[in-house]
Amino acid sequence: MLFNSVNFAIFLPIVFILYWFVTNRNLKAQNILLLLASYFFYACWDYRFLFLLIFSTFLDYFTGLRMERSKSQKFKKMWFWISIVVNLGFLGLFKYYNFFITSFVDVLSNFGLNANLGTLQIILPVGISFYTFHGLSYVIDIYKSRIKAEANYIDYAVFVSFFPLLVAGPIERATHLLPQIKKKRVFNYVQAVDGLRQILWGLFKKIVIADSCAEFANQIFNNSDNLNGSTLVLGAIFFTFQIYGDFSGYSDIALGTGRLFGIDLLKNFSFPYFSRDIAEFWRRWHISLSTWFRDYLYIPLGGSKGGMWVKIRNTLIIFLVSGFWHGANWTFIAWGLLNALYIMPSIIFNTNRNNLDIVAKGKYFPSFKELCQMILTFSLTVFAWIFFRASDLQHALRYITKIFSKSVFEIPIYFNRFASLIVLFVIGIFLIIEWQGRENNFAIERIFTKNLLLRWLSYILIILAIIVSFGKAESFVYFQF
Amino acid sequence: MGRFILRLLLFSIVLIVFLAPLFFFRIGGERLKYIDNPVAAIIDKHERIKKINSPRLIITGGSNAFYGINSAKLRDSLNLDVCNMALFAGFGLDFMLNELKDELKSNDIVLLSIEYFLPSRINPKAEEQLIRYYPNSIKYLNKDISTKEKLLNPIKLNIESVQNFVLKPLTSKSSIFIQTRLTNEYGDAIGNLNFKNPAHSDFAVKFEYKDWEGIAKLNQFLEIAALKNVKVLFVFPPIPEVTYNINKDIIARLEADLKSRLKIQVLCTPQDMVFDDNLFFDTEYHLNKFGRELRTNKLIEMIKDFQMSLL
Repeated sequence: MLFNSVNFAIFLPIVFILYWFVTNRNLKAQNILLLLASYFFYACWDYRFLFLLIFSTFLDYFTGLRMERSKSQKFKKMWFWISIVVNLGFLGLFKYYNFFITSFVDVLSNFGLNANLGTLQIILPVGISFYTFHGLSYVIDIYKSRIKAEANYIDYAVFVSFFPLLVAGPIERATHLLPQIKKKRVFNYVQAVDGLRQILWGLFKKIVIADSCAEFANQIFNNSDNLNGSTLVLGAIFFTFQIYGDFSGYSDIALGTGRLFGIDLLKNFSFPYFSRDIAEFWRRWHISLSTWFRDYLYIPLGGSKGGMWVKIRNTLIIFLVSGFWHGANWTFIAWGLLNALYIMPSIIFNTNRNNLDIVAKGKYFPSFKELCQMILTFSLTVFAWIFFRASDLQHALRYITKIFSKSVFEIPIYFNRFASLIVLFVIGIFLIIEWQGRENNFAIERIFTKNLLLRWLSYILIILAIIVSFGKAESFVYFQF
Repeated sequence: MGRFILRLLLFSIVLIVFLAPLFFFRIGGERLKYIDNPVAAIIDKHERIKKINSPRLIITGGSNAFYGINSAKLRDSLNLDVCNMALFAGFGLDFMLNELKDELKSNDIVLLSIEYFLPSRINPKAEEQLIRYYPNSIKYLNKDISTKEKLLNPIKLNIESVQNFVLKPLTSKSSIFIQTRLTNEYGDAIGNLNFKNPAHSDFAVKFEYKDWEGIAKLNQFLEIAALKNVKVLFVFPPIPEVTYNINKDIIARLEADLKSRLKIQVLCTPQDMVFDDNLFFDTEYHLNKFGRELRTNKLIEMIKDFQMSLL
């Protein structure tokens, strides 16, 4: 079930009503409702994979308890590794098996050897990377004695499967979400209205920004060999906004939906395209994943302790793994590597924490220096997205070669001149709204707070834009991860 | 909670007042006019087939025939009124044949230009659009429309026509990729004729051999047509050389199957319908305007030979 579908528009109010009007007096009933709703939500994609989700949930719940009850460190370690191996095994099987096999066959063929290793005809279960990471963080936290194992299966299962975050995050932590699930929720008017507002903005980002940009980005990337450099630059910019609208839109809908149920989920985006350097970008983009890798990979590897080379090695590792997490393709690895190279100077010169606050805080406009920094960071990001979007490495390299040819000075070939200009105009409006709201959790959180008429008018305009742009319920890009 | 519900209701009322025109008023009373999806061309095609008198040449098939035939030229050369019913392979063979059955009249000629191994069943997305744009198509799909679809389809249609009404004047027809409903009076696609031909396209598509169930369905169709004194002819679809070369064996097997089991007269060999790669514009079945002319010339000769054979 997609967030931008009629089915979800029916599903959400039903669950909301049952949650606040039928099960509101009983926390256990509320959690059972959330779990059933989440499983139904997931089963709408493919009920067969629901069993995988349930198995994965049960495995981590069970191994968590076993670890806690283990009298010796040896047994604790054993249960820990059982969970890690099985979780990563499933992820590896469903997501990476074919990649490893084909890469291995390619390597052998380079040495003149022919291997006939079969690939698997399997589809990737939606959201497997996300719920696997939920489970992994829970198990690791128990192993490290940071948290206690959850004894209530329903509560734990809601933590893993809560439908707003089930298929594309944010990647939650047991320390943040489980206490909220265990605590009685009281309806909070401000939180619920904020939730609705965030859902609305998420839908705008997805339907108006991402889907409109996707049309042009797809045309340009799919025909890049026949287009001039300037059009390819435009294609990369369209994709840059597509991926942002798509993923941050999804996160906004997820966070907003969580708020409707009295649950605050982790913030996943914080205006990343207004970053002044790459380190800041990564503190603002897919925050829940970046912090996950920081806490469960970077720091255990030694983090920034142990000298410059360890720091560089660890940074390289987390970016490569992060790229690989996004998909079983060399393009994602190249994208991760490129971002690692971008961030490396700031790691070496220790300037990666220079820009911790929001740009031009309390001001209408950035300084000239900040503007230049933002444009440079944005350009680097756009360039990196080419690898992310390209079908393979050769495609990415051909695309980039063309960008660095003389044809970049030609007039872009607009496939549909006026329509693409409209999309660029809408992106401009979108950037202005995002800029004015950059000090909030999401852009329209405080829109016309003192004027009801203007506020409602803005909502209506946003809804109108959504309706006019609404085509088919396009899948969110991030579901594939 | 009470305050939340009250505010939400109040906002919903204001919203409905603002959005009412979108859902309930028709633009100029002709919302279908603003639908530019190629699937909507079915409306124009059915209007035409009902309008023209027999003897007619009725063409059906997927987009190979929608894009790849110049019906005006066929009409002038064969002295037969032409209706090109071909539209989209995704409709499936069952629908293509069913929609013709009621329309056949004595002395008509039906020219089947069917894609290789065309599935019988309709693609669900195409079905959804088809029902929305042309609710009469239900009777050719052998299914019932649900109450939900009955309620939602007019609203979706209104929204789509409003979208097109708002955005269409702002968009140009210069795209080589945008598919459009634009057809000529015979039902041929013409929205693509002036598109610039992309220098490349990957036509190296591999077909998969199967014992094509379509042969039996075509034979059944022939029986119905024969009862109405309608002649049925079969031609292979146009494909680029590169596609033919990598599928030569599979196509030869299909050709052998057709020779042994198809009761419909086949006017050509698969090789006759192989054209230079440069004569296709986006997919392996879509001829550009030059390819379209070449194929039409070939079809004219073939149909003329057939007509001569009847004398």
